[in-house]
Amino acid sequence: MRRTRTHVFLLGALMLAGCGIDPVRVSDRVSTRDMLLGVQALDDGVAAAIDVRVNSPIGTVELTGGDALFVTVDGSRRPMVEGQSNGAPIYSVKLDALPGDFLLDLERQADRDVHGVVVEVSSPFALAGGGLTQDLPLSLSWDADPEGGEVVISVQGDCVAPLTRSLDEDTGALVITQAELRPPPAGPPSAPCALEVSVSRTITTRDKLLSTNPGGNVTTSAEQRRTIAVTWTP
Amino acid sequence: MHEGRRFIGGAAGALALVCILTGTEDARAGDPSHVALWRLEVHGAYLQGDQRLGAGTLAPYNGWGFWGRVGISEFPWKWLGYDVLAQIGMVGTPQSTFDVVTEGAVAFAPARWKGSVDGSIVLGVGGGFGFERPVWLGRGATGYPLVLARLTLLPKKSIRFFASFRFTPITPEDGWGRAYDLEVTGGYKWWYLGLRGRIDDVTQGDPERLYRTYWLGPTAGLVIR
Repeated sequence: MRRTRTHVFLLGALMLAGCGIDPVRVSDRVSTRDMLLGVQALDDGVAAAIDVRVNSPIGTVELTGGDALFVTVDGSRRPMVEGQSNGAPIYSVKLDALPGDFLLDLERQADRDVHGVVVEVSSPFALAGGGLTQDLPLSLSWDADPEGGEVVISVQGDCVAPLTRSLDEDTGALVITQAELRPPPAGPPSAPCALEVSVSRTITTRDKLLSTNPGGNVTTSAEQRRTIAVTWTP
Repeated sequence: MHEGRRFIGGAAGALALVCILTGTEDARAGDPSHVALWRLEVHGAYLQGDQRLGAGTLAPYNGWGFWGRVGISEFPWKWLGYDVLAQIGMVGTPQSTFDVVTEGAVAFAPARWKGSVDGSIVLGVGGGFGFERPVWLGRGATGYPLVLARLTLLPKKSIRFFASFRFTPITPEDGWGRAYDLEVTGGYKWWYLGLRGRIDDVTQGDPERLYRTYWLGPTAGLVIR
């Protein structure tokens, strides 16, 4: 009996001390004006996905109470589906492709809505590659888009150390000599090996959600990525 | 002529009311149901609730507070008196800070009785001055109105119970706030122990919503008179 009383007392003391207070991260408790929407979109040439995370001063937020996100891609409006990523809620839509800019809407039952957030996406492109035989360098070409954002080329495979190049300007072409393809620490390959070469074009933006102050923020990162396979015989 | 009569009638009525409230005799200090109460006390409390972050986000928070308090409730006249309270202390929250409050009220004693349990009821209206509460509102000093009520029960000469309630609406820069303060104590001779709870409500933000803080903690004191 005495032990039970002790346990009840300790439990009460712990409750009073506020142990385990954790922010209740539901959108009902967060003002639209305090929200930070993080939009990530990727079209890899095979399929596309749009992911949105909702952050706030109290952490990542789960949309509750009828609050919802929608995207309008190529004239078609779709609701975003809730999932989990690293233990936090994430809202996603799977698509066949990202043909261009799309719109994001946040609809709230007891707060301000946000409609028509434009997420800029660079135009789709095709990637071609050749060379890497005898002494020929790797020659890459794609459809240039001067306003398509940051361009990054990467080469990876079992026989090379990962290589990454960023272009200041989207020229639509790049040549990588064999000397630039460094073997991995394990040593140079002795047989033909497969390489994966990808070109990605990413547009990132940061803007306010609303014209008020504070007005929330939306950050977007939309990537068009194309990957081809090439064989290299050193 | 008509105006003059109305003025004289009003003055006579006010004089009659003052006479009724002040009575013809002082409250006797030896009277077990007398309403005067002078006290010194210390009070500690744990707090938990929601504070506002940004434009209108409910953010859970908690903390503690510790105060020394002096309260004087005195009745120079039978039904009419005054109630003064001063407190100084610390509030430990993310905005941890010094806290000081003074409050004063005109007090009325509409009921006092003798019987198997002597007792009295005191009501008061006045105002206060101190830092804004809860502390997350900021650290501006502010004045505010006050209403109070106190029930005192004396089942024996050496045993005293009293419960007091204070309501203080405080208008911050944005929206409006109010605090409900309830204290229940029981004492023997000069000493008393009790429990004091407070609810601080603030309605503000975009969207406008309620930010509520609960306080609860023990109080211990000494009755001087």
